[in-house]
Amino acid sequence: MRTSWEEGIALSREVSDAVSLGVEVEHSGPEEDGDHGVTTFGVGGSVHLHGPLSLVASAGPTVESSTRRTGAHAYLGILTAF
Amino acid sequence: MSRSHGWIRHGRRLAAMLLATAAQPAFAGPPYLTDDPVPTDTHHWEIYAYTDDNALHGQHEGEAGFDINYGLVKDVQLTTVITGAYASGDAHGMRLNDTELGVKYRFINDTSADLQVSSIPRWCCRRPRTAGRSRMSCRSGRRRISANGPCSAAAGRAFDRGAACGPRGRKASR
Repeated sequence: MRTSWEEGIALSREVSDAVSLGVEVEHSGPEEDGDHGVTTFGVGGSVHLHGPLSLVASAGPTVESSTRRTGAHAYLGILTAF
Repeated sequence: MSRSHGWIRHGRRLAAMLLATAAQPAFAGPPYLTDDPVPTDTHHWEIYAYTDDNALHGQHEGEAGFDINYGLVKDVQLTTVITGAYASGDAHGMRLNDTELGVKYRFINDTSADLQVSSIPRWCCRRPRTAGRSRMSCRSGRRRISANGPCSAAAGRAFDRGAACGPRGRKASR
């Protein structure tokens, strides 16, 4: 086992009262010997649905640092804030 | 905030109230991997019901669950993440994943400079493969910084001290 690091930056912008969009890049180092670091690119956003509810989603490619093999990730959620 | 288990780590655990309230500027946090430094409003809740999937090498893994955040006092947010995880080829199907506990403390909130900085230590209650036992076995520290402008920017760096955590039944959720 080893100490691993993550670095990331995200830029987002509200395009209307109910919608925000953003992009990000994030890199996670290997957690254990033999693991590979992964760099993740993503686009995402949120849409205010009704009352306390918002829909949040993001998706994008991932690249394994040492092998350059690519993959993908996706996230979908409902936020309730009150 | 913030990943699932394995080669992709989800840092989107912590709250992004900004995504839900148009009166506030947007930073990061869910659905982004990069966390934001803004705590949940005092005495308010933010609860994400979510699912995610990661594909690499033809294998899929992900999780579904709840990311629960509460604004305890000004500049302090409590967080817990409770999920089930799945992975391709896992004959057990979905199983309860590691549980996270975290505290976000915003120690810089410079409104004139639009600058906020928080520290977000988190602990995982890892679940070993053997059923019926769990232990507090990991600790990570996170620090996030953000600034506003035409766009909002959030950046962060985190570490995970796995070596100090004793046996690891599974890799941690981020």
